[in-house]
Amino acid sequence: MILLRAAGGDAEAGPAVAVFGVGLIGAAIVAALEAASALRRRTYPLSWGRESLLAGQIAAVERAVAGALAGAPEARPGALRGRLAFVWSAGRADFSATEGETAGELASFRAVLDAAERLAHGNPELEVVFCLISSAGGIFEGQRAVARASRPSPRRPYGRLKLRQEELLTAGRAPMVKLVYRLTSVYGHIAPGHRRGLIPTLLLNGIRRQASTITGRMDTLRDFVWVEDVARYVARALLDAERGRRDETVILASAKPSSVHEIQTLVERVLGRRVYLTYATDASNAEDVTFSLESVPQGWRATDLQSIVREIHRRAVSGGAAFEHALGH
Amino acid sequence: MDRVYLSTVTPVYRGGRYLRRLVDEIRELREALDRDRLPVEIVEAIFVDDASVDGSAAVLAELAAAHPWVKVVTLSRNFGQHPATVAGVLHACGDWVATLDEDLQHRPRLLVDLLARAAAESHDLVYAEPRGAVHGSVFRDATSRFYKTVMSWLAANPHIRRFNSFRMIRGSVARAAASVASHTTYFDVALCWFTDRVTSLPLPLKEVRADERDHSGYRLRSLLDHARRLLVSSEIKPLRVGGAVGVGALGLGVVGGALTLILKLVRPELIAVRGWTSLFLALTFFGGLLSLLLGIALEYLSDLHLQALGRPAFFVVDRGKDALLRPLCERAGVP
Repeated sequence: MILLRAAGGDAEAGPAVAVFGVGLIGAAIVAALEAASALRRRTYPLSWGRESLLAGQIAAVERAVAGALAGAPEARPGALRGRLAFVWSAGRADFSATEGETAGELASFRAVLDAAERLAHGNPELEVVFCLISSAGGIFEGQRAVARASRPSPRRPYGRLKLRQEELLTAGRAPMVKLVYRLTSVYGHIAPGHRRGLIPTLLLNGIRRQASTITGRMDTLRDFVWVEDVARYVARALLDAERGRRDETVILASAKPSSVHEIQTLVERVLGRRVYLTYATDASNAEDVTFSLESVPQGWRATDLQSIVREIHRRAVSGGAAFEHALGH
Repeated sequence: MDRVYLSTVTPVYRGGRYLRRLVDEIRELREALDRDRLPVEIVEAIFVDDASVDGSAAVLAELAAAHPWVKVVTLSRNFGQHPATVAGVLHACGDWVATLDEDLQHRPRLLVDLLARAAAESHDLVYAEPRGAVHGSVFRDATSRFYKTVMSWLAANPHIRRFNSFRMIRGSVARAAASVASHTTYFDVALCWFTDRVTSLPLPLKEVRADERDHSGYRLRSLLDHARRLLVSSEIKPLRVGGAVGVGALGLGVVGGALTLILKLVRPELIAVRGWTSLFLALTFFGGLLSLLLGIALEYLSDLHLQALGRPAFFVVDRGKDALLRPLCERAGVP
């Protein structure tokens, strides 16, 4: 967990933001917040999946958050002021997760949500915002041209987990602003420790001349969004006090379906050579999911896929030995 | 209920005055499909604004605001009809993608017939085949037919005769062809790289512009550009013929040379001119060899050209949903 606070420590200077989960999306949100505002960061380790340890760690985080808001190590209960945002971008579960794996993750989410609700209930002058990074692909799996009015119908434990998290947040009665961002397939730069997804994997394996295995079909349709577009949008919502006062549940999508074949062709053009592909025969993740332009909120802009793929490639190849070292090769 | 999704793609350049009628007709078809409980849904109507010059952009914005299923893709400059179609197809998510012109030459109600025809025999691509004259110009219709016939023979592609911008394409095939298309690729040629299950359906197509004395969106220059694209994208038979002529000439040179050499050795008096034998041997052998090497080089060039254009090694297609369209075939009277 990373806690960000205005460099001066002044409650009026801007919100305190606690980001839970600093993988691909969480790290990008932290970077976008730091780029937009002068913030000081502190890292708190959390033991995901170990409930006995996690409860104490979250209590410590709660104290640290309160302390950061009060501008002192020990805060006076009930007197916190200013703006505090929680961002939930954690989660190890993916599309292949079982019910058992998602249950642990739901418990962790509940613990963090409880902490946020306690702070909101206990401090009338504190404005609490809770931002949940959800999965549009998980909750609308198999649907096409998803629009604002489309009904979620998750088909597997991962999608049900995300929908349950949304329900827990939105049904809560604590006085706080609830922001739910449903993301489509997010891709980012090739970096160690981050889940990669189709595009960076194809690029990386293409650079190394290794084969990639696709767990879908050549014509499986997906909607890809660039992680920095998402991070900028979320950071703006958290930093903009006016916009961050309304509850919001939105889909962040490019609204342009892309087939696996299209991505393959694009990567081959950028690399200037063929990539090696094998297709998993039990393509359990082969359902199409696409989004209509009408589903995305005003003010959201998705960068063109081709430009970003070229940028990922440029950054990867210009990294040279450092890039290979960072990836453990 | 499991449904088949249909997307329409329309490039827009100079068709502002027809767009409202076109969207109205698509809306009527959407409602009819829903009312008749047919398992097909027009999930989106994509209009690609190819830097239109007649205020079409404002009309499209108004239509998109009124109908959530109308989607507008705006190109940064005028790229031409094929690139605009490719851009639209790459934004489409339907199981089937229909491409139709902006000027009501291609009536949306005919989409049902095209789709039924495709589903009846699991075709991947169905072209509308005009019944009678289309453009209101006998000369233009005749030159178009003549050029397609010649190209069909040159490229050894019988489907070129059917090429028409009113088409019903299996979505996966359409997107695959669009994703490999470069700025010089003729979209229909790229489609034929992914499927040979191509057919056509005679339909009444009539250019409304001609009746309304409106200028066609196509000028002579863009028609010539179309012809150039078709030529460049196709695998041209004469290149292969060049290689075959080279092999033949080399063989002839070797055989002729051997005979001449034997003649020189056995009956030298028959060759009156001194030096003729060596000159003839050199000419036939090296002429044949050069033709052969040129043929091979052209073959390599053609192969590289097609690779650069994106011709695939293979492509996988799923036709499993075609069975859902049975009620549509029955309604359209397609066996």
